[in-house]
Amino acid sequence: MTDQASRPFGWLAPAIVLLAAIGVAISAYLTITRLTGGPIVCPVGGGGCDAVDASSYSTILGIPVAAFGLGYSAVVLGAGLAWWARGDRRALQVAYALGILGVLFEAYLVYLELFVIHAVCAWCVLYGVTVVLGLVAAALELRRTRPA
Amino acid sequence: MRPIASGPDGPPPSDPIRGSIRAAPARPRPGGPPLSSTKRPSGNAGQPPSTRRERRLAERDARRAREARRQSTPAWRSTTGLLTIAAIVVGVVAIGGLILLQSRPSANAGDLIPPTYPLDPAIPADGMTLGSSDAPVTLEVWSDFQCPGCGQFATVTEPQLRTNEITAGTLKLVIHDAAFQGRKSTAAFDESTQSAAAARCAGAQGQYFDYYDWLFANQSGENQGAFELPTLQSIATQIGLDMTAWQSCFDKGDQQQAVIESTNEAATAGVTSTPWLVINGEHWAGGYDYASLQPAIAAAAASASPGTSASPSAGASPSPDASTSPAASPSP
Repeated sequence: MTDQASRPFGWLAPAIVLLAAIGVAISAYLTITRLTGGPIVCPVGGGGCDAVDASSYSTILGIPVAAFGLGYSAVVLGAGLAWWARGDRRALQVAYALGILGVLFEAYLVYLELFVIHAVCAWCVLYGVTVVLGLVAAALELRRTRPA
Repeated sequence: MRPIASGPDGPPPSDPIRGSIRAAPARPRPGGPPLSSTKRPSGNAGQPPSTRRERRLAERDARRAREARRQSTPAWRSTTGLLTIAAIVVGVVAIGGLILLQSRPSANAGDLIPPTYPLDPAIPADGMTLGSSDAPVTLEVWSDFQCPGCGQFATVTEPQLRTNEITAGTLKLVIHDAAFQGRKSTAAFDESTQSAAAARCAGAQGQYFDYYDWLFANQSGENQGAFELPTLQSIATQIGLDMTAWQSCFDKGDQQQAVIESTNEAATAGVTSTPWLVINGEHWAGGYDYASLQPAIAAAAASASPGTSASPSAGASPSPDASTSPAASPSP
């Protein structure tokens, strides 16, 4: 006999996984274009992505910010899968804590885009949306599966 | 890692039977809410429940006991609460460190030298033309941002022209691109053409001469990477351009094409060196230092009446006056 409420049944667990997978795809694309020096095909046109990518803020200690995003999304994806497949609550808590960190960093990056670089990269915005929604899903799932 | 069951959120309710066994002997904590164990059938305390009713009662007791424990623990001390606090603290510290790290001038921005002379905002600027459109004397300059002579003219002679003749309304300066230096290089990124295009894109936002000044202030060698893309972008950022619009303009390639066409026209018309100066339609070969130029400008002002001077449209790539160009083919 199991308590259904404590298990990852429902749409939130796959949502966490799907959002992290989208994050992996976007950050992998941005990392590859950064490393190969290729042009970024901006989803809404304009030169915002190239401007942001070429700014001095696109790297931290010489590592592209997109690569940090790739690592981040990969860990969240793993945690989401561990929760979805095995019901490991610790994994859900990891996804939640990373979600908070991710949202804080996204807020900082959006600030840089709007007020320092004066250019907005649509891929970065889309990636940020996956991070915010991932946190919301993890928080709701944590609340839903809270032990009685 | 410690088992989940021992976390502050309480044991997992996956095994209600075991849970009820543990919870059965629960007693009210001192000061805590009273438990309803008094309703349990007497003589059963501490024994495994045998009937369905006893099990149900035991489960209810266990649930209430857990609820009571949870209510006695502040929300922030739950695993989720502590995780939230820890993540926020780590995030704030990390971002604070990042801001400190990035507030130091980056290698690229640190290498940039701001212009040492101010661009007087009172001087009218229209695209690649600086000065009043009514000025009696027009000084056309065929220039390349990588050419050292052009740098000398722009950083030494031009400030004096701006302070004196241009401010006084006697002179207007018209810049034409003659981006020859980049053609000496086989590099895919032609720094002469690209820097000129970058300046034209700044001109699309009304800041051609701001960009022009920053480029010449940072001139360093020819085709040696002084005007690679990151530098061009840093300058655009430094002068406060709308970067999305600037980058979009730069990526489109129209301005690079305009620079190439202007340079071809210069070659066709016989511009053999840069800076190539034309005063009211006449090629001036008497030196580009202020001491040499000033009398020539004064003479042109004296002989010219306003409105008759050549005034190529700003931002375009006008052909040089063929009548004033040498017949020799250019060899820049």
